[in-house]
Amino acid sequence: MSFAYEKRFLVAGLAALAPLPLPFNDVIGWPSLVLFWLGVGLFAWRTSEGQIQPIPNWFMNILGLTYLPILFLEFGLNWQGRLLRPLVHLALFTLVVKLFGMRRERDKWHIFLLTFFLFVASMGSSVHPSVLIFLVAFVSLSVLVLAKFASFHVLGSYGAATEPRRSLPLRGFVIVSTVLTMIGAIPLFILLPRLGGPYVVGPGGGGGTSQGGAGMTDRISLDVVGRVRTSREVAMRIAYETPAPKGHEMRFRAGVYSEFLGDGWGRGDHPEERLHRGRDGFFHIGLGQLKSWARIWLEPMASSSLVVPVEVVALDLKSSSLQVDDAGVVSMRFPRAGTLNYRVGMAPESGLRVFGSTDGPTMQESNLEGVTPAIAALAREVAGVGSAQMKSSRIEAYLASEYDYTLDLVGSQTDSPVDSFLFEWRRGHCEYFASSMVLMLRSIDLPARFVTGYLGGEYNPFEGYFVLRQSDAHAWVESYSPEEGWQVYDPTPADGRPLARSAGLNHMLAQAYDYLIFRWDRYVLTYGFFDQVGIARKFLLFWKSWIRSKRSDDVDPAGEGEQPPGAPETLDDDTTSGELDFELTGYQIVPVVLLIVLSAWWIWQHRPGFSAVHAYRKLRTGVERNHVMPLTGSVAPLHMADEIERRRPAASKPARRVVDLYLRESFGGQLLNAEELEELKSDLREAIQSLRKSA
Amino acid sequence: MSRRTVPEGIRITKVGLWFIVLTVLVAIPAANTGNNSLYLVEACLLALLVVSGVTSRQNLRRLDIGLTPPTEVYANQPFGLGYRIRHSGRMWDRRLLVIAGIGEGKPILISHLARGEDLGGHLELMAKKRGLLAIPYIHLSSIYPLGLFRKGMRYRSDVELLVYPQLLEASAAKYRGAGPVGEHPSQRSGGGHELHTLRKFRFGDDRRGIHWKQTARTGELIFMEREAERGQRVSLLFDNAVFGSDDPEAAEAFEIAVSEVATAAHHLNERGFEIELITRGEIVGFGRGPRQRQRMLRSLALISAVSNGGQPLVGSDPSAPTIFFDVRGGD
Repeated sequence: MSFAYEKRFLVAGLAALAPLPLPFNDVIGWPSLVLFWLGVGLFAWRTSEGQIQPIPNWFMNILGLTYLPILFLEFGLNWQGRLLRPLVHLALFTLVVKLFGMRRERDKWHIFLLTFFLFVASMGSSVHPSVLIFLVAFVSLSVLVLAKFASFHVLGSYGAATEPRRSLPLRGFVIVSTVLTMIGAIPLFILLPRLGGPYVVGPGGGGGTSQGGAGMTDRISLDVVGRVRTSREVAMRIAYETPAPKGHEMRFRAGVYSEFLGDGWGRGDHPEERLHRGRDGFFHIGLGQLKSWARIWLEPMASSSLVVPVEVVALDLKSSSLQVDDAGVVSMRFPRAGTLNYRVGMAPESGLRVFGSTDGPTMQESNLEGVTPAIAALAREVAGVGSAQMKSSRIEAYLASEYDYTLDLVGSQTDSPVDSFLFEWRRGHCEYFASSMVLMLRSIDLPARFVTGYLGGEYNPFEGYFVLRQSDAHAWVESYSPEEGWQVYDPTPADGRPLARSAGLNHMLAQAYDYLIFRWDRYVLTYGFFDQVGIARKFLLFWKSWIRSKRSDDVDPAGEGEQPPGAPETLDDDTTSGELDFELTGYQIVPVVLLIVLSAWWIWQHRPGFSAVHAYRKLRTGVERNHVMPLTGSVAPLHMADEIERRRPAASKPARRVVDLYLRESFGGQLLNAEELEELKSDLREAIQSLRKSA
Repeated sequence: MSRRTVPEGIRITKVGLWFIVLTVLVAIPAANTGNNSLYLVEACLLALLVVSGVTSRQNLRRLDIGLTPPTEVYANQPFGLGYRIRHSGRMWDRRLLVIAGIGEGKPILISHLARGEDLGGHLELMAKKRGLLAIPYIHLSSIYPLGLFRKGMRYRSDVELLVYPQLLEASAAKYRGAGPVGEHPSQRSGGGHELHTLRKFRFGDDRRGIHWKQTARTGELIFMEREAERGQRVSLLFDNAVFGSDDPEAAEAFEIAVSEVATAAHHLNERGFEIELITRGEIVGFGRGPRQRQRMLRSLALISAVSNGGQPLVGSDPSAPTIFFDVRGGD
């Protein structure tokens, strides 16, 4: 296969690979990509058939004009605020046309540029770790293409285009280069300066699908939770900074709904107020005693609400615009695209008291909308007499024991779903149980509301955090009593709660996969300026401790200064550490400054000065730019000087002097003195000017 | 063999320039948006640059290069400088090596050099001037692996050549003949081809010299004595005195004159003349053959103009014809 054919195949292969992730990222549709691949495939087939005749320019122009209406449609009528889609479509179309119209070497580089644009678009819109496979494949293919093109270029320049193919065994080089590039990219990725917080393009979450579930919207139907529970998508991860107490239930509120709408729930009217940071730097949203902390990584959701534990009392979040409504739902002013990372402070006291909602009930939570006489009668019968707490517990127990849990009802249509659940079906999923209990409580004058969120979570031993998936979505009830405030009740039977866990190899693989996804999200997608600061701080701490250990070794090498056993620890640690800190700062600054000064000195010393080599290169550039002769690497200096003399006699003398001095300096081992350098400068100037004039 | 190397730095190619431009172009949106996927691309591009640079440098290292100078080199006439190159490294085959010497001449491409492989050839070079020509370095360059940079390396060679003056084709015709004309009979007996005299055979004469026909006719052993032959002598007188030797035109004229002398010496020597070369400051006595030619050419290769003339030059053999050269031209 000749170089020309092989080049075409390489270019086509790279072009075909570049847009592969785009349909996965929802930037373009699969039909567009398939059409593009068909075009590239046709080009490859033509090439393999020996047809390398490019399409004529007039035909390319017609094709370009044909695409104009499509461009107009995409930018005008079907705009949808997505700039990337029409640009990528245009690039794909241009790439195919350019492939078929390839006639000069320059065209191949144009195709490379378009391919690179598609590659950047593919990478920039990707959030799934599998894009690493794409990256490795693209880098290795690019290395192969560049290496082969370089080889073809050199072999062609030296008339060795027909040289045996043994001169191009590049497999080992491509593999090693790719591996080294990937390894080298890791520290560069860490060190490249970030100017702000990370920004995650696309839906995130690793699955490429939006997570609008778990009742995070303002209005939900009674099927929402049941529907999202079929998904294994990760909703959030939580890592406890202190071990969670025994018997602690992981229950996270996402949305609170007070307005019954017949076939679903609405948030109702809950006035919001802005949250302000306390003196300790945290947002306080409850009155309980702060006892433990946990860190949460919340995947992107179609809501600005924050998912927090029921017992949350404080929040630590890098945001200045938090709001809380009177139901204790915390939200940000704008929904976040990327994974949201925050800490929650909890007051894990006995019982499931809702600490975040300190206000009493409103009229909405006592609204009898949806309460039928049958429901009221059943509620009175089940609740009996006693305190509000006792009545609520009886209804909770009744529903949990007398009704069955099922997801089969998802999508069932009825005018009165709660009535149907209580008196007809006698089975349903958590939303039916919770809705029924809310209406029953309201019917006996106990304020109640419907709550959605997540219950439970699976522990991931690889990282030490809990994963909460959409399958952990759940609905429950909050009921108010004047004595206890808002309390959590969960009428769903135990077998319907999202606590049952699978086990075995699949489970372990799923956990490992989640670990990978989490790491990717945490250390790649959301890696930002503050992480860099953290790394720098850790490095400084390490440096500090090292210096401290060195100092203690120097001062007390034999350990003579050790305190005798039993001696009171009365050393003034604060004072000592304060002095140490001051001195250590000096220790840290001195080598850094020294390093900077030395580096600057070294760079100054090694700065490239004006030399005959420099002048010769400029002359060559001048010759090329002024079209004196085509300059390949094999054109020797004296030959170039002769050609200048022949073609541009006016520039001959100064050009020859430049060449002579270059040969003397480069090959004669004689450095030019200052006077000669001045002459060289003027000769170069004169030569370039003459070349320009004669051109 | 030498392994002393001097790096020549890196020259960026057009492809490399585009690569860097694209790297910068990716860096801008990456920094602007904080999109870590773009940072990944940026990191890979930078890492590829580093890998390319390191590989490029490695590709030119650990090579043993030996040079074999030719026996005779004339100015402005291509000559082959023998080279041997050996891959003495332990890792990675070397590729796309371009070897260039000094002066005008086509560089040699070695597309592939396996580990431990030894390749040889001739590097076609041309010296522009007569005299000593130092080849302190052999220049190696390569755009391997990705064509982003052209990396250069000098390998010290310490080869020094003596470049003989240029032989002028135009002047050569004057000294060329149909064949050797330098020998003629000298009227004395000797070991030549012509008959000198016939005499009686004496004890000690070579029996192969007996003239058998005369011996049969006279009945006595008759010995055939041949004439001695000797070469025809020519004195080449070159007045290398130049007035105003700083003048570039005078210097050029001097070089042409040197080339004229060299051309004469070369061709007359080829025709078998016994030649002496007399210049101001050096006399190369009569002689002929390759050694004499080398002596004369060496002298002319190193000759330099002197400022004062002094006495006119005279040949050492008054009977030998002289050819006179000076900077004003002509003989």
